Amino acid sequence: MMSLFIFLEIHVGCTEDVISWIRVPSDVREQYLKIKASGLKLQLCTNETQATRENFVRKLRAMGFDISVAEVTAPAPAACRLLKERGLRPHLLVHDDLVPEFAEIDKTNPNCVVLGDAAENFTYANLNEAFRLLIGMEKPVLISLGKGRYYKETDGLKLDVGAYMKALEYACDVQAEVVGKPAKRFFESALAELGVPPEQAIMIGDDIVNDVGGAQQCGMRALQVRTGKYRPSDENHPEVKPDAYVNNLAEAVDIILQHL
Amino acid sequence: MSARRALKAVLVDLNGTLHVEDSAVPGAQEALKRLRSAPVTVRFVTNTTKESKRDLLERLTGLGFDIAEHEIFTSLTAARNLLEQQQVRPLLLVDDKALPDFTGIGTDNPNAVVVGLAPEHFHYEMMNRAFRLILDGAPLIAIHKARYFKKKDGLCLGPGPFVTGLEYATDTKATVVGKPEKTFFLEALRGTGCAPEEAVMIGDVRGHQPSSPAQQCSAALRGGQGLQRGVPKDGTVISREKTELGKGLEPQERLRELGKGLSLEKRRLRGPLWLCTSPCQEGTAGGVGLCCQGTGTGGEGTASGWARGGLEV
Repeated sequence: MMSLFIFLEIHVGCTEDVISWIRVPSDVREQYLKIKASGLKLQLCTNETQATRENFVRKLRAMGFDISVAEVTAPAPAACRLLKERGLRPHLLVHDDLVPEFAEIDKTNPNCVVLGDAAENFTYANLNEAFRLLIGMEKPVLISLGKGRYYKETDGLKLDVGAYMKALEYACDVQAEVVGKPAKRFFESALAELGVPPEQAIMIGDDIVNDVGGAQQCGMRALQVRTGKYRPSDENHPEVKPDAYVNNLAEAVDIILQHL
Repeated sequence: MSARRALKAVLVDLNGTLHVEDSAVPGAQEALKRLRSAPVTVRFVTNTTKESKRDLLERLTGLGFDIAEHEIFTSLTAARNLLEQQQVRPLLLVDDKALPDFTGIGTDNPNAVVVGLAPEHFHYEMMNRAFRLILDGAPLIAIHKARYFKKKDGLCLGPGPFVTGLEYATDTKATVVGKPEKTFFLEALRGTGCAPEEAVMIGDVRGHQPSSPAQQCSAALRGGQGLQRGVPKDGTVISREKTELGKGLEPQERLRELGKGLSLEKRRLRGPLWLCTSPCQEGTAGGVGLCCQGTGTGGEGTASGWARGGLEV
C-alpha cells in the first residue's frame, strides 16, 4: 500500500486583522481530495518554521483540507524531542510565531542555539546575540531547523535558514545539526508516523536538494515539481536525479494514480 | 653568491608599523624619510572597511608623515579597482565613511554586490536585496571575510559570516580583495610598474583575524625551522618576528640588523616578500621572518619560502 508524502510550500503571511493569505497552488485542494479518495496515505512533510503546527493545520482546514496535526511532520516538534532527549536548553532565534512550539521547553540558562526561518528576526543584533552565546560555550551546539538556501514568496525569493546557519557555522567554526529536511531522521519519523517502509513511499517537492535529494537518500522515490522555488538549472543538478520531473502537483498525482 | 635581486617597490603597512591608532610609531617618520631617499616606489597598504583614503591621509599627515594620497592603497581601493575593471555597478554594503572611495562609480540599477563591515546593512531586507542580485549573476565582492572582531562590549560578527551565508544561498564564491589575499598585493603593485619579485612588504600582522596559522608560523619561527608547519591551505603566510632582535631598536636600526644576516634565494621565491618587523605580543625570543606568500599548496611558500634576503634599504 503506497503512501504519498507531499511537500507543501506553504508560507503563512500575516496582516493584522485578516486571517492571512496562504500561497497554495490553486489546484492543490483538488489534488488533495483526489489523493484522499484513492486510499493512499498522505503525510505533509514541511520545513515550515514560521508557524506552529496547530496554526498551520488550522489555516489549511479553513481552506477545506481535512487535515489533522498528526498528518504534518514539521521541524519544531522534532527539535523539541531532540532537545528533551539531550537535556538541551535552547536560545531561540526563530520566527515569533514559532515560539509557542517550544512552550514546554526549559529555555533558562541556554546551552544551545536553535535557528529557524526567522525572517525579519534575522537582525544583526539577534544574530550577534546567538553568536556570542555560541562562542562562549565550551562545546557550542547549533541546531538548525532545516538548511534551505531560499524560498519563494509573492514578493520574490528570500533567504532561508540555511544561509544563516552557514553564517553562524563560519563565525563560530562549528557544525550545525539539521532537524528537518533533508535530515534522514526527519523523513524516517514521517515514515514511522505512517507506518510505511520507504520503498512504498513517494515524495513530491519543489526543493531539489531538501525534498527530492533528502527523500531519495532514505530509499524513497521522489518527484520534482516545476513550481515554487524550482529553477531551470535544477534540471541539471550535479548530484540529485529525481525519479521524474513534473510540471506541477496535478501532474505528479496523475502519474502516481496511474501507476498504482 | 647569487646576484642580488633589484628592489624597486616597498609596501608599508600602516596600523602597527607606521602608526598605532593616533600616534606615530617612534622614529617611523625618520625611517620613512630615509626610505624615500632610496630609488624605490613606496606604497602604503592597509585593510580597512571604513576609512576612506582621504581620512587616512589626514591622519597620517597630521602625524608628520610625508605621504601623498595616490600612494595609499586600501582594501577599499582594491574593491574599487575590481569594480572598474569589471565595469559593474555595485550595491554597496559598506560603512558610510567608506563611500568617498567609491565616488564616481555608478550605483544605480546595481549588478554587483560589495560587502564590507557594515552591521547597519546586515538586516534581512538588505541581505535579500544582495542575495537576489547575486542569484541573478551579480558578482559578490568581499572587502575581507573576518569572522568577528572585538569591541568594548564583546565580540561582534564580522562581514565573513554574512558573505558565507550569501555564498551558500547563491552557490557562488565571493572575490575577497583585502589582505592577505594575493590579489590585494598584486593590485597594490599594479600602479608601480613593479613585479612582485621586485617588491618587499614591511608590516605588522597583528590585528588580522584571530587564527591559528599566525601562531603556528610563530611557533615555527621560534624553532628556527623555517615554515614547514602551519602554513594554511590557501598558502598565505603570516609570520611574526620574535622580539629579541627588535627589542629596543628604532625601526631603521631594525631594518639594518635584518639586512645583515640575509641573502636572497632568488629562484624559490614567489610573490611579494614579507618582512615582518614588529614585536609580537608574546615577546618571545627568536629569529626573524622573511617569508613569502605561498601559492596555495602546503609545500610551496613554506620551507622554500623561508629565505634570507639582502636588502638594500
